[in-house]
Amino acid sequence: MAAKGSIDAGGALDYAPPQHSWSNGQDNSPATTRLMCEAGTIQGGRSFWLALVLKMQPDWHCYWLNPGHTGFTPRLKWSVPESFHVGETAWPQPRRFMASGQIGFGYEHEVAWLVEITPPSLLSAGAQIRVSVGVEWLLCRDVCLRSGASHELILPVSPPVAEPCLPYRDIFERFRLSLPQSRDEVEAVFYAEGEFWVLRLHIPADTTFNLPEVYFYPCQAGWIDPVAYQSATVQGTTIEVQMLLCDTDCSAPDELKGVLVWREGNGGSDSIAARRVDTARKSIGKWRS
Amino acid sequence: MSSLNRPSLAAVPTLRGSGPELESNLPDGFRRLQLGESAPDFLLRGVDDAEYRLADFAAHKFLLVVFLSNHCPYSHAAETRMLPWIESMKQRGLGVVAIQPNHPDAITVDELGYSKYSDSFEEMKLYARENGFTFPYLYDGETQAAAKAYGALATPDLFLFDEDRRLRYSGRFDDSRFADPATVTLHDAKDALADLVANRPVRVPYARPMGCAVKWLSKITKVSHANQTNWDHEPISVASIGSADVADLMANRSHKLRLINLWATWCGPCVAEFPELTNLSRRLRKRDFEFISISMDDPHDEPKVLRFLERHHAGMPARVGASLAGEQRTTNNYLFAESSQDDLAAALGEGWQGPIPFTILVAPGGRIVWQHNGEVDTVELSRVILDELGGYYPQQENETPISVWLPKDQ
Repeated sequence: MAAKGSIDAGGALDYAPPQHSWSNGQDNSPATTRLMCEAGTIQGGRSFWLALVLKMQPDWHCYWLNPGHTGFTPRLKWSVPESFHVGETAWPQPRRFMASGQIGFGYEHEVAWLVEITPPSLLSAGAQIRVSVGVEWLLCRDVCLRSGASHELILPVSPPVAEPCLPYRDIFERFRLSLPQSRDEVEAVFYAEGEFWVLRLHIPADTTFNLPEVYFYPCQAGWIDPVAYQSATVQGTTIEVQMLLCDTDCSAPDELKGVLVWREGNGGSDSIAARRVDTARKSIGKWRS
Repeated sequence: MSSLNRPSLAAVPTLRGSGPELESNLPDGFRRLQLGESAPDFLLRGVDDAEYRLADFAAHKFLLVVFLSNHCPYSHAAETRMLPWIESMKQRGLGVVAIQPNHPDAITVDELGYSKYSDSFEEMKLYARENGFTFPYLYDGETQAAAKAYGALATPDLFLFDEDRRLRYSGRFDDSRFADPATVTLHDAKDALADLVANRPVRVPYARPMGCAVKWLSKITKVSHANQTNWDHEPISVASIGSADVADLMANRSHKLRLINLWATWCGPCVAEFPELTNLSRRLRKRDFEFISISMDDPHDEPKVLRFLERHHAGMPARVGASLAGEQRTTNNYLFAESSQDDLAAALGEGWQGPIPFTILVAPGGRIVWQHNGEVDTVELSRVILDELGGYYPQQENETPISVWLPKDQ
């Protein structure tokens, strides 16, 4: 049975427990979820953002699109009225962790999945719009617990205004900072070279990398060995990342998506940066810029 | 005690030529010590990390050199009677040194079904401590020089020497492979020492050793191959299972101890512990035991589950396979097929709250022996299992006694 959450017209939030509460001698669930809307009210034709936030107890983790060695990709299903458009769910940049001798890609403490909703241009002021999300996730520590929840918000429609009311702007700005940057039409290719895949892509000239801490997370599982170290080199405006092929059942798609994560600067900065690689084309033989 | 029951072995037989299997299993340099011959010297490390040689036991009037091992059910059973006897005979001048002759790499996995310990030096330390050895326990597995010099054939195998360190008795401790002292009819070693203490000829100076054959170094390659490949041909299949069938498994109307493990391919701790569980299943493949896996993967992921099981050679031992027909079952690997876990939780009892891995040990009749959330400690689990199954042959299993005349010990 899924838990239900709702929001009243004023935008108050409701916290919902996970579908399967679990206690290990204590009555503590390992995670809670909440659905948030950045806007207090919505207007016809003006896009707004929703966030599904999963907060985990210390030591627990959940997984990214590619969970790594093991794990389970969270599933989110957004529901809006028929005339509304739901954008692509934005996944925050993942991190690597070691658990039970396995390398996982995912999140600890908190993760917020964002989605942009675009209403039709004509909405009647005073109407109430129902949006909801169903989510399933896997949490692991020394055990794994598969859970799920569903949440619903009722969003009031207000007349068109010049400046929308965004009571949760600061929170959403923080969420957006954890999303990988997206640059349009950046040329990227990947190719096999010996036991390695090499990903090569152009980068903005002002990008600074702390090279030992560059890591490429492919969206597709079973493509690289998650344990293996990745090495990166920069030449001018091109970065090359070398990744060890996985050892069994290794195959690569013709096109590759993923996230490149790096620590900016030369060791003096703690700033983590990430950018999406929306499409890298598979190339036969070494690609030359 | 009727002398008619005694083996007619007044002298130690020449072992070369006693049979093709035996001869082919003996290593170069092996020679069974003959009556009246002097005790060979040795230099071996004990579980106290001290080195011992024959001269270290010179203060004792009589000396018992006994070959024992950690893994052998015959040794386990004999020790239940031998250890109290040794204590009682120390005041009569008996000195004792135990030598473990096996190399652990020469033991097949399925020969470890009666012990949580194999025969490594480190495990000898644990075994000696847990069993209260009051005498040096020495490791000979690296070279087996002592085992070859004495001609040890099995564990246990005893060599009793007089004051001049001449061999006066060799062979078994007594004629029972069970732990129950009521099953003993011939007290061979005890009688031999009684004769020595009474300063009279030993009436029966040799009784055929009965136990687990010494695991010779020369077999390591063959054993290693067997440990790698013996499981390759066992059938692997997956069947759907629902809560009602899980409840039936938990009722355990079989005669087997059941280890049930809930796991999934997406569960890191499950994947990490699975090889240990399959290895445990291999160790216990000749016992009344079965390992049952229940995958919590999505039912449409059955091919993925099967691939995982195949990669880990998680097949069904023949003994388990033979027992399934009467249970309307075809496999020991299952994939949970229902959408709700509530009925599954009810079937498994209060110990399972939802997370995996979850492992539960169920005795015949449905008694829950042990259960655990999270990765199992297989040493602890082995101890619990062996407490249930016993560390030596149960008497109701009226199997043919296996002696040194056979190459395998279980």
